[in-house]
Order: sequence, then structure tokens, then C-alpha cells
Amino acid sequence: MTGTIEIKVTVSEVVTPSLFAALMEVSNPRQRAALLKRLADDALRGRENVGLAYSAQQGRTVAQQTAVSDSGTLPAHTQMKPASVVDKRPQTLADSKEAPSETSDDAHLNYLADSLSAFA
Amino acid sequence: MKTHASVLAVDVGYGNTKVAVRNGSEVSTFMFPSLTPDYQARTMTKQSNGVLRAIRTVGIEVNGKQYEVGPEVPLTSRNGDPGRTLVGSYCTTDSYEALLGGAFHFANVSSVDRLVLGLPVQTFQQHAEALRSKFSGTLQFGDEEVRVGNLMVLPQPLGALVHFSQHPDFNPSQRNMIIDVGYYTTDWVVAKGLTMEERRSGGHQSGASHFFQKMAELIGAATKESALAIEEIDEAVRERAPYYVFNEEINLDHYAAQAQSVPEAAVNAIGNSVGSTNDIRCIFLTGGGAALYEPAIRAFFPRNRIEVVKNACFSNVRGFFAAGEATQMRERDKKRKEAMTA
Repeated sequence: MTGTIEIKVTVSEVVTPSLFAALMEVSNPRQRAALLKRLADDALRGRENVGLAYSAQQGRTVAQQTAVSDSGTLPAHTQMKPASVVDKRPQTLADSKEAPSETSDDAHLNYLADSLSAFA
Repeated sequence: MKTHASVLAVDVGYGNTKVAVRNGSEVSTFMFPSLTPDYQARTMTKQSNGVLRAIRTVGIEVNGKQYEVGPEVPLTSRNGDPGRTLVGSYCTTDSYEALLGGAFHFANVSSVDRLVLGLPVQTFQQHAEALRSKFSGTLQFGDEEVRVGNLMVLPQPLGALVHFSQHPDFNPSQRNMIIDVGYYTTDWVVAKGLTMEERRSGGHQSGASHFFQKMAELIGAATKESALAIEEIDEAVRERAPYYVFNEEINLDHYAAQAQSVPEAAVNAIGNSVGSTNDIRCIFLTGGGAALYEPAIRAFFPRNRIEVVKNACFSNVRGFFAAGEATQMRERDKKRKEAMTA
């Protein structure tokens, strides 16, 4: 049996500027998705037995690995599941281990910028 | 080799200094105690050829004096340090500056486009402008130099609200209240969306340190020992670790229950300031002392939905960081458009 994973990914210029720039070079959506897969696969093949979560840990500075550190977003991971299974968002704040990553989509970034520009 | 960061967020609290910095696609956070004893070089560690482990602290020079800053600064050094007492002008002290220097050091950052700092609600109007001018441009910590493009200053509890504004339950047209229980102060903000209602927001000089001080007094009276370090009690409560006075194990739960008069006083002040809470959809508890104040807050606001923020001590700094990135992106876009039309 062959597994497939369906993922909807938002690539933000703020969060991953290099990846954003690379993907902007390609205008066709299918080719853009293919490029994303190739970049991710190439990165994984370049490391032996290293998952994404582990590589994220390795990228930290010594201070950021102290006992008092916490990684902010949950470790990057994907989960094998049938395409029919729908993601469930946390029902309460207490259910969510953390809020989503700090600046996750453009609409929210714009809302923050509109609301907080007076403080900048 | 230290690096450049687009945004660095630092929440210099009375108890701990919290830092957020982007690390690839993640935002990393870490913290260290807001303690700045005089720096003493540890020559024995150097001479031991690795037998003694070097502790993670660094000497930060401010106005010609070296302060020791870092995750492993001795907890008992709190006594006698000028930065320990509750002063409204804490952000103008050398201790504050040294802690900020420590934040840059441990984040491994030497220059930043936007630095985001927070101030307590009570002193925000008084000090925000002074902070902006003091910590913009080139900052000198002895021989170490860091460059700050511009500084954004936010009321501390607003950080937690910004952080949770991404949650599906957040509605910009509804009111929420954030209660931020810090080490020396408890701040609260009522906001509709992200717009603060200043009349219903404020601060009270009560926090985790007052709670632990009360516990220390009660334990001291019971054990006839007056010189108990509240930092040790703090650590034992947070880590659910046994606590001893000489060889006697102390039941901390018993004394924590007796110290509830401290949060009750703060909650009364919040209640007087906020008035009726029937228009508040959710009360978020945040800050390092949130768990200590939770029972009193639930008792006072029995009909409100109350959420205790997980990893509460980092929620403000995460919000600072998100605010910094969002406004930075807006300004970058604006400059790009201006360049295209020029």
C-alpha cells in the first residue's frame, strides 16, 4: 500500500524568506509544489536518519538549548493519515499546546500591523 | 560569530528576562533570572582543565561596572542588588540595561532591525519614550557593541493578547481581559480585539514574589527561622520539589493555601478597576505567577470563562515578537512600494 499525505502549506516571506524567494521564481502552481517537494526531499537525503524535528533542534544556539528554553512552535512533523481524515482545530485554548506559530498568515499579519502600528 | 536578526523581542521582567528570536522557520524562546550581581571571573574553572563545569553566565558592562547575567546566575544573589526592589523606573536602571545586554548575548545577536520591549501598564506612558531613545541606535556594553535599528515598546500584557489573537476563538470585535501575574506586579488589560481600554486596565504591586514572601514568613514563624530565601521556595513550588529548612521537610501546599490573602488583594483591585465583566468573553491568565493566582481569580470571576495560558511566562514575549515581525513587514512593504513609484 502506498501512503499519501495531503498538506496545505502557507509559505510566508517573513517566516521563511529564502524558501519564499525560491518559490516566487516559479509561477506555475504545480511546478511550484514540485519545487517545494524537491527542496524538502533533497534536504532530507543530505542527512542520514535525521528527521525535521531533530534538524530544527540542531539549528539552535547553545543558549536556546538550555533547560529553560522552549521551542515555541511544536516540532515540525507530519503525520501519515488517509486523505479523508479532516484536521481538527483545538476546541479550547487549553487544548492547544501552544498558539500557532507567531506570524502564520498574511491576513493575521495585516491585522497585527493595522492594530499595533501606533506602538512602532 | 554573532548574527543579525530582523526582530528580537525581550521581556525584561522583575523575576525573569524572556527572549524570543527567529531561528529558521521556528521562533525560539529562552529565559534567565533577572539578577545582576557583580561579575566575578571564575579562575578556578579555567584552571581545572574541564573538571569544573563553567556556568552559563556572562559579564555585561554597563557604565563601567561588570554585572553577571545568565541562566545560571546564583539565585541567592538577589539579595542586596539595586535592581531587585520594586521601582517604577526599573527600565532606567543599570540592571535593566545589563539584562538587555545579556539577552543579546545569549540570543547570539549583534544587530537587529527591530527590538521589541515591554513596559508595565502603570509606567508605560511615563517611560515608553525614554526607552525608545535610550535603546535605539548603537548600544555599548563595554567592548561589546550591538546595533538596534528601531525600538517598539508595548504594554506587557498586550503581548499575551497578540500571541493569542491567532487562535480560532479570538474575535476582533469582542472583549477579552488579560491578567499578567509577574514577579512583583500584576497587570491587567481589557481590550476589544487588540484595542486597549485604558480606563479598565491597570496594575497592582503584587506578584509571585509577594506570594512567596508571605509563604516565607509563615514557614519562618513555624520553624523559627527568619532568613529564608524566597527564590528557593519559588523553585521548589514551581518544580514540585521537596523543600527543607535544615533537615525538616516543609509541606509547601499547606503554606501556599495560607498565602492566598496575597492574590485576593490583587484580585479585589482588578475587580474595582474592571467593573462588571459580563461583556468580557474570556479572561486569560498569563505570567510566571498565573498558577498561584488562579484560585483567587476563579473565585472572584465565577461566571467568566478563564483560560490559563500554557507556558505562560513566554506568552508576552511571543506576542512582542509577532508584533515586531508584523509591523516590520508592513514597513518593508511600504518602502518597497515607495521605491517602485519613485
